[in-house]
Amino acid sequence: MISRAPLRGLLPLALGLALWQLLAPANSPYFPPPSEWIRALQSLAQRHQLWPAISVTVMNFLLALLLSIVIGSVLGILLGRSKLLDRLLGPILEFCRTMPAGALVPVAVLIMGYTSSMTLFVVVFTSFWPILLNARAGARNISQDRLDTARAFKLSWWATQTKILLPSVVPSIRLGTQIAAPITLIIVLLVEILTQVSGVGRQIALAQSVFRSSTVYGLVALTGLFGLAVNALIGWIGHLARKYDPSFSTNAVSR
Amino acid sequence: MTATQAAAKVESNSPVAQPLGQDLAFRCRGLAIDVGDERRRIIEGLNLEVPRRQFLCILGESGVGKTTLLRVFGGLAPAAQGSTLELNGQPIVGPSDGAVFVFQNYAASLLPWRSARRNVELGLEASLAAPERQARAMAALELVGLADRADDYPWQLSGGMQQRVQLARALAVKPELLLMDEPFGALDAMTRETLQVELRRIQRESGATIIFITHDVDEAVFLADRLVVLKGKPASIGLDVRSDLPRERDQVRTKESPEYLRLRRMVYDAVRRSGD
Amino acid sequence: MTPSGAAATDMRNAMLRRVNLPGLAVIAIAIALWQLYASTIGARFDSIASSTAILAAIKGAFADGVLLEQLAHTASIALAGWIIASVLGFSIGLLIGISNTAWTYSSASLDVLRSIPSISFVPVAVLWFGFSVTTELIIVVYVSLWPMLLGTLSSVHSAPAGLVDVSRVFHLSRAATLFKITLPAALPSILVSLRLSLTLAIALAVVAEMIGNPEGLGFGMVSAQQAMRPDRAFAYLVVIGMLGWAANALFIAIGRAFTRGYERAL
Repeated sequence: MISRAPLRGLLPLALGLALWQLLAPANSPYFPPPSEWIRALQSLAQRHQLWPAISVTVMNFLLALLLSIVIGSVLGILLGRSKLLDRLLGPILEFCRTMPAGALVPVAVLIMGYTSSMTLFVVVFTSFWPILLNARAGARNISQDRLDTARAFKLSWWATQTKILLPSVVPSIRLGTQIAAPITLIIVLLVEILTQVSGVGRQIALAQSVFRSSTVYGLVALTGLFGLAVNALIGWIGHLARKYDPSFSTNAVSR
Repeated sequence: MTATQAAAKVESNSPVAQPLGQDLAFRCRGLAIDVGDERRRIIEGLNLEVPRRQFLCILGESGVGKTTLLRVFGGLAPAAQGSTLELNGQPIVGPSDGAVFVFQNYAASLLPWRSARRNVELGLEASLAAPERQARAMAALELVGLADRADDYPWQLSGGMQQRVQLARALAVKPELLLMDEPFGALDAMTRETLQVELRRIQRESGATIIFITHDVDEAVFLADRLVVLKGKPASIGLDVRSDLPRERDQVRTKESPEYLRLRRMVYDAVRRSGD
Repeated sequence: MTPSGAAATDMRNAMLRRVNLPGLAVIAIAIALWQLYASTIGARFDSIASSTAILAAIKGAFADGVLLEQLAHTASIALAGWIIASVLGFSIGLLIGISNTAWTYSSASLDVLRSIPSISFVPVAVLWFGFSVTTELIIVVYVSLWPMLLGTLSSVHSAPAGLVDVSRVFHLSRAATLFKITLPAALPSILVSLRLSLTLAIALAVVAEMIGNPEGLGFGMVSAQQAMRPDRAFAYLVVIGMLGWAANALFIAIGRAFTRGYERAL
C-alpha cells in the first residue's frame, strides 16, 4: 500500500498503548494493560506452551505457502496456456474460489480428522488463488514475440518451457505470492482457532475459553508481529523483483 | 564560450528582440530552474519575450529540460530565485488564469467518466452557468472539428480525437497563452500531420498565443512563426530565429520550399551542434 | 437464412458464449463422478456423503425450515455488517486520505494495526461480548472494515498524477477536485474493495457462528459435523458456497452496470 509512511504516524498507536498502560488496573478482567500481556506470555513460555506453538504456526505457514506456490503456479500456467482448459474449469474453480474458508473446516475435519494434512489442505485450498490467478494472467500475456523467438530458434518443448515460459511467468508468480502470504497466515490461524489442535491459534482459543484476557491480548499482539514479519517478507520479495526484473509490473490480480 | 555568454550574444543579436511597449503575452528574464533534491540547475539565464498571437516552438534534445521549462512557464513548477516571469505583465506564481496546458499523455488528462463535451466544460464549471457553458464547449469542439462526437466518451475516440478534445478543453477557457508539451508525440505520423495543419488553423481562428514544445525538427519548422532551440548544461537559448514561411502551409509543398529547408538546416545544426 | 434469422442466431451464440455451457457441463460431470465414487469405492467411508444424499439433506433441511432460518440469519448479519463496515471504512479512509496532516499522523499506525491478522480479533470479540449476535456483528464489521478503509485511503490519497495536473491547470477548488476528479477516479478501486469486504463479511459471519454465536449456517455446519452427519455437513458446505458465489456474482453484475464501459479505459 503506502510504503513510505512517516514515522510520526506511529504516534496515535503509541499514545493509545501508553494510555492503556497508565489507565488500566493490572487486574482488570476485560482490559489488562500491556505490561500484563508480556507477563502472560512469559508465563506461557515457562509452561513450555509458547515456543512449540509458535514453531507449529510458522511451519504450517511456510509449508502451506510453498505448496500454494507450486500448485498455484502449475495450475495457473496450465490455465493460462490452454483456452480450452480455462473455459472448461472456469465455473467450478470460480465456485471453489469464493468458498468461505471457515466453511471448509468442519467438512475437512470429518474426512481427514484433526491432522496437519487437514490443516495444510484447508489453508492451501483457500489461499493459493492469488498465485493461481496471477500465474494464469502472466501465462496468458506472454508476448507472442517471445514465443516466436523460441520457434525461430527451434527450441525443444522442454527448453521452451524452462527458458522462455517459466522466466516470463515468474514475475506474476512473485506478485501472486506477495498477495497470498498474508492470506495464508490468516487462514493458518483460523484453522488453529477453529480446531484447537496446535499452534498459536489454539493457544488464543484456549486462553479465551478460560478467560485469561492478558494471554489473549499478548498472543494477538504476537500474531501482529507475525503479520509484520510477513509484510517484511513481501517487501523483500518486491525488492528482489525490482533488482532483477526491469519489467516488474504492479498490475496485480488479487481476487 | 560559456552558456551564459552564448545566451547574451544571441540575445543582443536576436532578430526577435521586441521594442519596449510591444504587446507581450509572456516574458521571462534571467530565468533559472533547479530540479531534484540536489537542486541541480538545468536552465540558466533564459530571456524570452513572446508577443501576442505568436506561434513559438521550443526545441531541444531529450532531457535538456523542455518539459520542466514549460511547466515553470505554466506555474506548475517553481523557478529559481532571481528569475522574472510574467504573463500579461503579471508575475507568475502558480498556475495562472491566462495560461492553459495541453499534455502529451491525453489519456491521463482527460476524465474517462465524462463525455467529450463534459470534459471540455471542466474549466468552465466554476465560472459559467450551464447554458453558457454548454455553448462555449460546443463552440470549442466545433473549432477542433469534433462537434459531432460531443457525446462520446474518451475510450470511444481515437488518440488523435482525444488530443483534439484536450485542445478544445484548453481553448474553451479562452486562454492568453496555450502551453503544449509535445502534444502529438504519442500519435501516429498521419494523424500528427493532420493535426499540425489543424492546429495552425485553430491558432489563426482563435488568436491564441502558443508555446509548443517538441523534439521533432520537422514538426517545429512546419508549425512555428518563431523557433527557439534550447542547448547546453545548464541549458539556455542556443538559437532564436523568426520563420519566413507563409501563413498558409501545406505538408508537401511547404516542406519543399527553400525557406523551409534553410530553417530546417539551421535548427537541426543548432540542436546537434556540439560544444558548450 | 433470413436476415432476422441470422441476427437471432448471432444473439443466441453470444449468450451461449457468455453462459459457458462446457464449464457448467464440467460441474455436472464432477457431481456425477462424485456420486459414482461415493456410492461405490467411497461407500465404506462413513465420513463422506454421495451427491444424492447431500441433495436429500438440503431438501430435508429446507423442508423443516431450519436451513432457511439459518440462511436468513447469516445473510442478514453479513449484509448489515458489510453495510456498516463499508460506510465506516469509506468515511475514515476518505477523511484521512484528503487531509495530509491526518495521513502523516496516522498512516504508520494503520500499517501496524492492519498487520494483525484480522482473525485474531475473533477470540477477543468472544471475550468481550460472549456468545451473542453482537459478537458476530462486531467480528463481521471489524474484519470487513479494513479493505474498505485501506482501499479508499490509498485511492483518495494518491490520485493519478495527470489528473492532479489537470485540477491545478483549471484552478479547481479543493472541493471540486475531490468530487469531480479524485472520487470518480477512485471508483473502480472502491468497487473492488466493496466486493472484497462483502466476501469477507460472509466468510467471517460463518466463522463467528462456529465459535461465537450459536446461530446461522456456521452453527448448523458445526452441529452437523459434531453429530457425525456428513450429508448434512456437505449440505451446509454447498449452501454456504452458493451464498458466497451468488453474492460475488451479483456484485460484479451490479458493478458492471455502474461503470458502463469506462472501466475499459482504466
